[in-house]
Amino acid sequence: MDVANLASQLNAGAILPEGAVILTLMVVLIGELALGRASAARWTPYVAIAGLLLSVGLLCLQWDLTPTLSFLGSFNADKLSIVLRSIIALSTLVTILMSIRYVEQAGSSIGEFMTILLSATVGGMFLCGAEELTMIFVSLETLSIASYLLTGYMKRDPRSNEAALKYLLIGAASSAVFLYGLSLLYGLSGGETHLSAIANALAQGTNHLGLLIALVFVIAGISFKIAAVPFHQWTPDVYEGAPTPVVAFLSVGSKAAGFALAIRLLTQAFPAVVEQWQFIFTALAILSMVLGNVVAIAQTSMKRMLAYSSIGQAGFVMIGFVIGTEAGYASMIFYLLIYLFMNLGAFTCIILFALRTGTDQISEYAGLYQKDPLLTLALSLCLLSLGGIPPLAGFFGKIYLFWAGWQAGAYGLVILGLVTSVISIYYYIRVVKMMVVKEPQEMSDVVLNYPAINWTPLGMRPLQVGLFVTLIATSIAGILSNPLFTLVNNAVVEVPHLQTANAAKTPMAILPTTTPELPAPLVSNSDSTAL
Amino acid sequence: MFTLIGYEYFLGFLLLCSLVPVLALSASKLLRPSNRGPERRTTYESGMEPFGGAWIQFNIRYYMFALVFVIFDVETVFLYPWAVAFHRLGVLAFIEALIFIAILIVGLVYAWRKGALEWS
Amino acid sequence: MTLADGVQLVSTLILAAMVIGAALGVVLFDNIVYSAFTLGGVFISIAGLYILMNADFVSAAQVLIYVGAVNVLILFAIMLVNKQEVYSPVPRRWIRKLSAALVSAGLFGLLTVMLLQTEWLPNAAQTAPDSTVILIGEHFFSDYLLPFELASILLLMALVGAVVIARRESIVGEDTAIVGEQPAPVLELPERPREPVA
Repeated sequence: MDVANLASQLNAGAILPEGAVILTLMVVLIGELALGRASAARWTPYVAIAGLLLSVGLLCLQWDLTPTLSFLGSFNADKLSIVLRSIIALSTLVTILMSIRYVEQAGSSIGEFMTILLSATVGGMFLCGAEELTMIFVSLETLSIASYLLTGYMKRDPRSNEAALKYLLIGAASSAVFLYGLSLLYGLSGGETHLSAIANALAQGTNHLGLLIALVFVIAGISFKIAAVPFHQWTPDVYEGAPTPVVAFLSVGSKAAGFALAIRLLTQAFPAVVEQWQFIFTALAILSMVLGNVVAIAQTSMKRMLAYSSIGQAGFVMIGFVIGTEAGYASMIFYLLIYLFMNLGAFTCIILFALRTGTDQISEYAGLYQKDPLLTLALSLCLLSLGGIPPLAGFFGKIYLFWAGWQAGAYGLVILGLVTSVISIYYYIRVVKMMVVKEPQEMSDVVLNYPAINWTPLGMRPLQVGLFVTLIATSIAGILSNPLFTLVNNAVVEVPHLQTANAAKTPMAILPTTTPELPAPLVSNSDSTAL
Repeated sequence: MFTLIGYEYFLGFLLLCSLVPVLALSASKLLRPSNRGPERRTTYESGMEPFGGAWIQFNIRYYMFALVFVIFDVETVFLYPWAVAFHRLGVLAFIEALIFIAILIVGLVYAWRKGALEWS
Repeated sequence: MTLADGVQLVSTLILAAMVIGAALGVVLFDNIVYSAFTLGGVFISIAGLYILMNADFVSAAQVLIYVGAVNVLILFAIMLVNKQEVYSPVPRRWIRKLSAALVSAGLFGLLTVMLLQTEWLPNAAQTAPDSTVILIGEHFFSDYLLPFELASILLLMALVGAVVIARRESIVGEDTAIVGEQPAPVLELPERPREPVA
C-alpha cells in the first residue's frame, strides 16, 4: 500500500475537530510547562475555550459533507456523530467557563486540570464516532480514566479521595465486564472488530445464548456510564465528593458519550436481539425514573439532589432510546442538547453560590432572592426547566420525548414519565420556594452574611458568561426550537442502521417519516403555551 | 493449533530450569550437617543483629518512579512492532509513529519539569 | 495424537491449573502482600497461555507490562500504605461470602453452558503469519491507526494525572512561594462537609 493510497483511505479530515482539541491540549500543557503555573492560570482556559470553539466550528463545517468511514472503518463521521460530538465539546466549553474560578480558589493547578478535561473530551468525542471495538474501548477508557483523575483532583479533601476511589473501583469493574462483552462479540463473530462486520457475521449464526450474554455485559458497561439504576450506586457519592465543575461534566458530557455509545453499539451490532435490548433498557428506564426522582426528594445537599435528578433525567432520555423509532432517537438527542444547557446552568449557579458562601446545603439557600436576584433567577429558571415547566426549554424536550413515546405505543412508559416528572417538579420547586418565598427573618446565616457581589476576581467573568449563555439558551431554546428539531432529525434520518433497527421491530409502524412536518404539532402547541 | 517455531527449546529450558532449585535444595539437604541450635533461626548467623520488622513503609519516591515507568513501558511495547516492521511500512507510518512519539515526549518533558524523575 | 499435540495439551492443563490456583491465592490470602505476589503468578501463567495461542508478542508484552511494571506498582502501593491495622470482624461475614460464592458459581455455570452451546466460527484470517510482530506492526499503522494514536493521548493524560495526584504539593508550594502573591494551595472542595446526620 503506497503512501498516497493509504493517506486517501485514512480520510483523516474526519477527525479534524478532535485534532483541534488535541492540539489545544498540547498547547496548554506545553505552555504551562514553559511559562510557569502562575501565568498559565491567566491564559490556558482561554486557549482551551478557543480550541473547543474551533472544534465546534469544524464540526459545523463537516455537516454538509457526505459521511464516509475514515481510518479504514475505525471512525464514522456521520451527522449523528457530529451532533453528539458537538454536545460533548459544548459541555466541556461550559464546564471550563465555570471551573476557572473554582479551581483557582482551591489552589490547584489549572493548566493540568484543563489538560485532563480536554483529554476526557477527546475520548468522549472519539467514542461518539467509534465504529470498531478497539476504538470504542480505547476512547471509553480515555474518557473514564480522565474522569477518575478529575474526580480526585482536590486531593487534600477526603471526600474527593473517597469519590475518586469509589469511582475508580466501580468503573474498573464495569470496564472489565464491558470488555468481556466485547471479547464475546469478537469471538462469536469469528474475529471481526468492525461493528457492521460483526452484525453480518452474527446474522448468520444461531448463537443466541452467547449473544445475549454479550448483550447483557455490554449493557452493564454502558449503564454504568449513563448511571442508570441499578448501576447508579457510584453516582451520589462521586457527585458529592468530586469538584463541582467535574460533576457538571460527568452529568452531561460523559452521559452524552454513554448514550452515543449505546446508540451506535446496540443498534449496529445487536440487530438480532433488538427486542431483548429494548426490554432491558425499558426496565432500566423505569427504575431510573422512579428511583432517581423519588430519592432526590429526600436530599439535603444540592449536589446530591442534582445527582439523583440526573439519574432520573437519564431515565427520561432512555424512553426515546427504547422505542426505537426515528422520532425516538431524534427526541433523545434533542433532549440531550437541551439538558446540556439547563443542567450546566444549574451547576454554574450552585458553583457560584458555593464560591460565595462555601456551602451547598439546600436549606442554606433560604432567602437568597433578597441578596442576589440574578443568581436566584438563573437557578430558578434552570431548575424549572429541568422539571419541565412550560415556556422553558426542558418542557419542549420532555414533550417531544413523550410524544415520540406515545406515537410508538409506549403508553406505560410515557405515563410513568409524566408522573415522575411531576415528582421532580416538586423537589425542584422546593428549592425555588426556599430561595424566593422566605421572609427576611427566615434567611439562613450564610445568606445573611452574603458577600458583596464582585465579578472582578480571576475567573469570575467567565463564570458570568457561562451563567448568561446557559440562562439564555435555557429560556429561549424551547421557543426557538425549530432549527434544533430539524438538526436532530437530519442527524437521525441519514443514519442507516437506525432505520434497520426500527424496521426490524415494527415494519409497518405509523411513523412520521418526513422530517420537517414532524415537530409541527409540537410547535403550534408550544407557541400557544408560550404566548 | 500451535504454529510458532522454536518453542521446543523454550519448553526444554523451562523444564531444565524448574529442576535446578529442586536439585540444589535436595543436594544441600543430603550433604550438610544438621544443626538444631537456636542460632540457626536468626536471620543472619553472623554480623549485625537484625532489628525492627522487615515490612517497613516505603518512601513515596519509589512510587513516582514506578508510575512513570509503567507508562513508558507501555509506550515501548507499542513502538516495538513499528521498529520490527519498519522496512515494510514506509513513510506514512514513520510520520504516524513520529506523532505518537512526539505526544509522549511531551509527557516525558512534563514529568521531568515537574520533578517526577528527581530523587528529591 | 502426535507428540506435539500431547505436549501442548499437557502445557495447557498445567498453565490452566496455575492460573486458577494463583487466582484463588489472590482472593483467599489474608495477607495482601501474598495476594500481590500470587497475582504476578496469574500474569505469568496467562503469558504462557498466550504463547500456546501463537501470540508470542502479546505474551512478551504481558510479562513486560503486567509482571514487570503493573505488579511492581501494586507492590509499591501496598508497601507505601503498609499499615498493620486490626479490623474488627464484620458480623455475619459468612452471608457476604456465601452470596459472593453463589453469584460467582452462577456466572461460571452460565458462561460454561454458553461456551459449550456456541458454535464458534473459525477466525476469518486463519493463515499462519510468518511473524506476529510484523503483522501487529502493520495493523497498528493501517486499520488500527486511530486507537494506536489515541493510546498516546491516553498515556500522556495518565502520566499527567499520575504526577498531579502523586506529587507532594509542598514542592509546588515552594515554587509558588517564590512567585509570591498566591497563598498555599488548600486543594479542598469549597463546600463545607455535611454535618454527620445524628
